Amino acid sequence: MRKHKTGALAFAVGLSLAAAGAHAAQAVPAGAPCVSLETKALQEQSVAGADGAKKVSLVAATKVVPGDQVVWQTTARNSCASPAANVVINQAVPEHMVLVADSATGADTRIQYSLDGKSFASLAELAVTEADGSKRPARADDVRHVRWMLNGSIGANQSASVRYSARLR
Amino acid sequence: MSSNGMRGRLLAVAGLVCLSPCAMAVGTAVGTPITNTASVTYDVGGSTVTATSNATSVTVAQILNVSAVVQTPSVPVAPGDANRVISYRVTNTGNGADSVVLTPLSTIATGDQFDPVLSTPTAIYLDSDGTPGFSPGDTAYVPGSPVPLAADGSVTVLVLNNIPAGLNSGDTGISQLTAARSGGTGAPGTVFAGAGVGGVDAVVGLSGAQATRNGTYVVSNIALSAVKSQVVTDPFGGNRPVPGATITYTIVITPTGTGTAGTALFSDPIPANTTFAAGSLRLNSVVQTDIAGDDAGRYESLPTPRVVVVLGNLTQASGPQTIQFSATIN
Repeated sequence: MRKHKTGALAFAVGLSLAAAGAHAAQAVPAGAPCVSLETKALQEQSVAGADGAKKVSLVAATKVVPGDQVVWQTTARNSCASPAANVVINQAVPEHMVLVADSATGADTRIQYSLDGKSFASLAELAVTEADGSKRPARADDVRHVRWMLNGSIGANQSASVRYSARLR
Repeated sequence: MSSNGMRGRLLAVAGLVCLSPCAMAVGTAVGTPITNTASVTYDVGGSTVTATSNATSVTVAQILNVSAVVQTPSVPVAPGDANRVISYRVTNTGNGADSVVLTPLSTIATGDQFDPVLSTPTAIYLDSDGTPGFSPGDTAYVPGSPVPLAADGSVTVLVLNNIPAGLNSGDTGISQLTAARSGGTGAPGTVFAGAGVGGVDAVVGLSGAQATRNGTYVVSNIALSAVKSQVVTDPFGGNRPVPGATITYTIVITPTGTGTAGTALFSDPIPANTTFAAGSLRLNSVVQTDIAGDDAGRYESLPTPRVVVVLGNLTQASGPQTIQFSATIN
């Protein structure tokens, strides 16, 4: 079942890439698209609560210096009456930043990585070609793109959030 | 030649080597925009749609870090010496331009046997003339003034102390240098709102935006005595000092006493009316090339012709050092 779904998904993505905007323009009703995205840069902030215990919360990233981690959070909101299926969210790791290993999360999603933004796979399946032609397994800091494939659909007026952390060089 | 006469030719040399890891690139520059956009693909109502998010941008704030390395951690001195130099390298290891204030302290209460006395009127010089060690071209540092440093930029700081008389061999005296951010220091994480380059926030890094390092003067009663001799060989197989004759000079430097003569440098001018014989310089019978950098010896034609041999750290156990070179009578 799961396997079948993966195949369908790959097809859907391929289609969208090949058809680009023209296909979408025909199919989507006039007005705003159903799913809108919002990306936020967040930072962990440790605050001592009333009982003295430190509590870590996420706040908007304002003071980012080399070595700091930023949580990039993307929320996809479906504002249409019909559910959005086969949702794939793709985020590039910004220039000057490196992905923090195992930091990408998203409820009920499958997460894949890419070194070039074209071919996506699990990190273990990716390899980096060195200058001398030899290959080595890819590390988190080689990753330039992360994508989340939602297993379920986003219902009407529902939203889904995914995030990963990246460290500023 | 007496050991006293030799003394003027033995100069301390400050190394330019990074004794701890040299400061590396310190991260993404302050003010760099970090922009991120997400995209989404989904199926709705039987069609596939792609959308992109807002572009979220974060501007890199300034991290404030200062590092200091003492380049001459142990400086051999004699009681009563004046203007002995401890050399430090101070680096802005933050990600933006900043400036530091330099403060020397030689009255360290513990860990040494004597207090060096900071030289007056100027105890700190910035090594600005490119010649290693303290030299006349260096810039006197005005106490309390900020020294601007670009990100990754560094400055060599020379702290000068006088050594009290009446000390024993082996006594040590610590001199300390603090390089602190002129705009303020603080615990790591302290924020100076809007104080960064271009008005961004500045955040104190792990260094606390300051660095303090110690150098130590070690009293050494080692004496270097030098004996110079010469042999003339004329072109006719005799020993007459005629034009075309070769004079071979031999200098034997003998360290005696306790302690170490640090990074000793031998230099000897080529006598007037003679010309250095290329390739004739030897240290302990080992031929030294005339060029600098590949071995201990070198020949310098400017400003005045001379031979230079880096003898390094000498102790009595080093034994006599024999330097030999030849010059031709013009």
